[in-house]
Amino acid sequence: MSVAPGIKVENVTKVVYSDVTKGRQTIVSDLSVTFSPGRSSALLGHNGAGKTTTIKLILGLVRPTRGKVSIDGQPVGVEQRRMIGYMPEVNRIPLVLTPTEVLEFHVATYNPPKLRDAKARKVAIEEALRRVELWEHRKKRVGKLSKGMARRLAWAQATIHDPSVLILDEPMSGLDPTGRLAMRGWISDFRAAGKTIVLCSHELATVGELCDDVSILRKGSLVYSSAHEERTASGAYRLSLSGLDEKAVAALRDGAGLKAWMRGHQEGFTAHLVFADYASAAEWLQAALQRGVVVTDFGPAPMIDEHVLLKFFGKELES
Amino acid sequence: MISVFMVMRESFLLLRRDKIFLPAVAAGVMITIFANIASEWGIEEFRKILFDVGALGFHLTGCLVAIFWGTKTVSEARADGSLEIQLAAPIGRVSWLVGKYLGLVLALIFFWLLVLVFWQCIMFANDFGGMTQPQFMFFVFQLLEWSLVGAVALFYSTFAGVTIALFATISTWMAGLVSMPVAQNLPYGAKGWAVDVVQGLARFWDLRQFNLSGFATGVEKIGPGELQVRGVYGILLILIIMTVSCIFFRRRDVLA
Repeated sequence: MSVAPGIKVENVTKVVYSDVTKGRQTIVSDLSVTFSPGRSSALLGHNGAGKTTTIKLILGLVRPTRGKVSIDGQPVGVEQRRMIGYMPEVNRIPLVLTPTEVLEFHVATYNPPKLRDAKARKVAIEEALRRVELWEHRKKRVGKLSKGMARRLAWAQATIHDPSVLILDEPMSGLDPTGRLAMRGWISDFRAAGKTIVLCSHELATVGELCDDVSILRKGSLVYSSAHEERTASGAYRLSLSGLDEKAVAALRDGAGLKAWMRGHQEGFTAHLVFADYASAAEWLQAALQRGVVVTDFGPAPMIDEHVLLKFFGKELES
Repeated sequence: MISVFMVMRESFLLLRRDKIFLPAVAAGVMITIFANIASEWGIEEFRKILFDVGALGFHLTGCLVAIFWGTKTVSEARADGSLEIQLAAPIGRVSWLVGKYLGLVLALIFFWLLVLVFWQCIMFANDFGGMTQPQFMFFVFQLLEWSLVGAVALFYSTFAGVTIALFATISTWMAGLVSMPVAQNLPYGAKGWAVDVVQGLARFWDLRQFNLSGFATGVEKIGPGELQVRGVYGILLILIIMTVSCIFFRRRDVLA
């Protein structure tokens, strides 16, 4: 298996002039993030955090005001884009074309060595359409397809040229449960094939299942970056408690191994704790049970959870 | 070259299937029928009336279609996001824009051919026989003007939204139609520099150069050399506008 290229975003700042009222806005600020070769990386952040702009910087659709973006060590250009498959957040396919025409255009544009022969192209297009269950609809115009079908066509478009880098912006949006399951399978296949994947998603379960690394953006800057192994291979554990009083909260605040916690509302405090290992988590669990605190969750910590995410989004957490 | 060809093909397909294509062809045909009726009502000079009325309709329909399509080609690609997908592919921006323009020209030629065939049918129906060379040249220059106006629309679309691009293109087109009459009718008291500026602009942007209706009906004599100059003028304008468009477009971020 050949090594897929990595992506490096180095000290990138992007300033845009929005309009007269907003003036100049910094969308991405001194961002440095690396998407390692052959790994699946999640890019998380609240709406407007700069995820889509970062993706567009990688694709060369947006030029950095400062800093540089490279793929496989080279600045982004036509040849670098040839390695990429891109699936945007919403379907960006002209509605009057048919799925076959969309893929024909796409394959001819990328012109991959394996598909230079007309017959091979035809076969590849048929295979791709069958894979996403659109072969029966190949002559329908995209405007007549359902949202889920158009989404599956977007996947076929992003992957038909067998890219070594896959950039997915909310790939699950608009898909029904069956479609989501299929999409997870397709992404897993790409991951297993050692491709570099950059995945933007608000669905943490998807991220936890499909990604090796996580990077979190906040207001255009990187606030967190972690490899999956750091969180799971070390045996991190999560403990969620509720009905805590002020005294318990104070004790928790000073607790060793505490990674994140948050305040509840009327029914006392709720805490979500992440421990570096099972032993410290179990110790806290025992203590909590002895004190009569309600334990709502205990188990291996996911790579990233809502509470950790909220902390990096800078919302409703006590310092 | 492959990417230019693919973008051109896609652009042609999109325009060919555009909602305004059939209404525009219908409008072109209806105007020709109207011109035919008007010419039959006339006591004399049937041919001149047919060309005068029909040419105006042909000119207006074609230019408006070129403006709408030129604007749609880029602005709508930006609005519906297909621009993002296509520029994320290994296509240079200049190739993309040139491909889009060639697709637009191809769609205009297709539209032109359909109306032209109908025009010839009307001529046969009136026993005017086949089109003469000056008459054919009239239509060729109309096509050249459409292509030029389409390039202007594309130029504005590279940095403006649909509405602004439409408004700006229509204004520029109208300016091209009136520039020379305005320059030739400046008041005697006008300041020298103002006359120079207006006449300079009129010489640069004069769309009346492409109106050969007088030549087609034999009222005006235009030699082959003059025709060549007018043709080269049109092509040069297209090249200049497309070059400036490409320069603008290369530097634009695709943020939508």
